[in-house]
Amino acid sequence: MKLTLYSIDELMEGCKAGNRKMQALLYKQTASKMLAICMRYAKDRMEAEDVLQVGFIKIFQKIGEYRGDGSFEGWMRRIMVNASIESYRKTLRSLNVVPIDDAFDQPSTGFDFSRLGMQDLMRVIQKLADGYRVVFNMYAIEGYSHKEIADTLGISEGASKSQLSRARAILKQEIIKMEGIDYGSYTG
Amino acid sequence: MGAIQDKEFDQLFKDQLEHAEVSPSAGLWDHIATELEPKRKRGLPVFWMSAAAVVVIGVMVALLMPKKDPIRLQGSADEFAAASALDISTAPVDGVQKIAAPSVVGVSSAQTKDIATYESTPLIIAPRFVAQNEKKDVHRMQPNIENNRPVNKEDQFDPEKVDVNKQAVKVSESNVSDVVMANVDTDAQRYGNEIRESDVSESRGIKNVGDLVNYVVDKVDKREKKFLKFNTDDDDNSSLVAINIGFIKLNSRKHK
Repeated sequence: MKLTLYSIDELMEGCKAGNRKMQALLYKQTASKMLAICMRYAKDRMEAEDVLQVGFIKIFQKIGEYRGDGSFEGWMRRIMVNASIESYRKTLRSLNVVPIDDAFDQPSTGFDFSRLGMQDLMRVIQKLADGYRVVFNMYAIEGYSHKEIADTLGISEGASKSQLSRARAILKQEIIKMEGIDYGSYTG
Repeated sequence: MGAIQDKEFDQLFKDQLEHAEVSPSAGLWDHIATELEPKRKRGLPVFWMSAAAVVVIGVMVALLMPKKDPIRLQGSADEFAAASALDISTAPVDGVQKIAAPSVVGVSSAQTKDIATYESTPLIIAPRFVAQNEKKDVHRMQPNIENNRPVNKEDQFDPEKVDVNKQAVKVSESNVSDVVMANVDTDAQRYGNEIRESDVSESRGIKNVGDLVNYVVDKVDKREKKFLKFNTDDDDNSSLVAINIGFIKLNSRKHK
């Protein structure tokens, strides 16, 4: 196996040419970042890996469409996010009623973020119900506007806003729970 | 720490998760690669597929094939004299004749027993023998081609082209006097126990597509019960007598 590292643009050119070796290298170099995106949106790891496959196939098939505006990695990420959202929308068709939570107060006491690592936050996000999770990801991490979220998911902007605030509340609850178990009672 | 602002809250998640990495499972790339470019493997699968294709076509043709011409009996005695590799030249030869087992010469005892089974059939089959001198025997066994008996054009036989290792080589078109190249496989035992009526068809030459199918299948499938088997009856009509594919086992009674 060659040890030389290719730049992402070199890999991109190789993949445009359909070079299988380059495709494999691009995957090796970017798959874990892509999987993290899928993990945020999916309800479990299995679904995340399915989406990862679909996403990469789309990337390789559509690579001719990348014109160089914006970074190639950013282009890849957008495709992966779209694949994740697509997967979520499919689950909507099959069953889902978005759970109507009891309204619950945001906790007044604070909590310490500094103790929480990436994996903790990932775990907490996965505790959210599907709809809240997707909206929170799109808004807070991907940076979509409520309008964009509404258009993509086929909901109203108001629904997007309320789902976002519910998501935040649940996340805070879960973090407190997590810290409570690990660190005993905590007073801000 | 007071109640955190929404923006800060979001930002904390974003900072940690935006560039997070999670290692994918090991075999994932292979699935992707397969999806991208499904490739067919070269080599053995192609062989099996083409063999299977021959069989499929053979089945279709055999089932749709019109009847062959009726068999013409041999009239001349010359052919028997030349064809017999055995020392029965002194015996009168006319029409149908059975080859008596005791007069068989040069055949191992393991096969003598098998020849006995032939006696009960209405067919004359040359007993299989271990060819000591293959070339000479091939030549001796050829019919007198100068014969101007009516023959089916497709059954002309060229002695030079005989491959003595082939299991079934056509010598003449007549069913009754059909003498074939004996199986020169020196491992006589292998065939000793398997000589039954179903194997008779192999030694009579390839007369129709069913026999061709049998020949191909025989090369490919080394089991006793082949996955597809045709039988050619006295009138050279071919019929499917056995199918043994996977759990499907259909055999005619006499072949079970």
